[in-house]
Amino acid sequence: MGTGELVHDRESAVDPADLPYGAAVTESGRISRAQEYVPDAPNGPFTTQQLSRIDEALALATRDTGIDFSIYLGPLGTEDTRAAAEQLHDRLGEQGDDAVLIAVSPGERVVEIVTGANTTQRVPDRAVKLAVMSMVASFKEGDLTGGFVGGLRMMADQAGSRPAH
Amino acid sequence: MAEAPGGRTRGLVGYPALVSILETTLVFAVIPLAICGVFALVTLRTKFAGRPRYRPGQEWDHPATWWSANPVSAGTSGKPSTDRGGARGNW
Repeated sequence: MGTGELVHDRESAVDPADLPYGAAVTESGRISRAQEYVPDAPNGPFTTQQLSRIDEALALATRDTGIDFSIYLGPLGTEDTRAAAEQLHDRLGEQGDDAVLIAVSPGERVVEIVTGANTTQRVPDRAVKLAVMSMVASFKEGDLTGGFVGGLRMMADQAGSRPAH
Repeated sequence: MAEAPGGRTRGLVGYPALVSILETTLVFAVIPLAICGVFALVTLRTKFAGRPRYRPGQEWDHPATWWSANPVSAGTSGKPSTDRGGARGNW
């Protein structure tokens, strides 16, 4: 056997008919297989454009104000939605002081906004109520994305820019 | 009355006085339906092509999601904030 000659293991040779679709036996005996590339698409209720709008609004509001805005979208329980939203806010721990949680439950048709100890000073309840009214107007039309973006923008405008220490 | 080429009797105004039932249907039924169909196609295209949009009052069976621009803050421990504010709304 000369140097560089390919070694073929004839004993374990595979029958090309047994191979799955897109596979082939190469000259060296290796099995080369092509697989279809399936790009990831969001499987939730939002399109890619809507998700990117929400993401951009969240990032801009958080960066401009220094407040941790977050959006929860899911069930809040049927009895006490306020308590459920505050439990979610508890899970932020100490960061909850500088956070604003927007909890929306389309199933119960309720929106709860919880502000922390520091963010209550910067975004007073009256401003939050105004943002809620704007969001509700969008949600009534079935426009969840528009409601999130509008509410975030209003609260970020009210909070102003990040305070200088 | 003059005999027009094509065997039709022409009136004084020069319009074919004898219009077949097929031509009537074509002009008054098929063409308007075709125009309506084009507009319906254009307006309903996005409705069928896109994913179903949320309408108020319908069931929400999607898994719960929590978006944050600061992933570091998610899941942190510590004493939760007790001094809280906020607002709520329904639709």
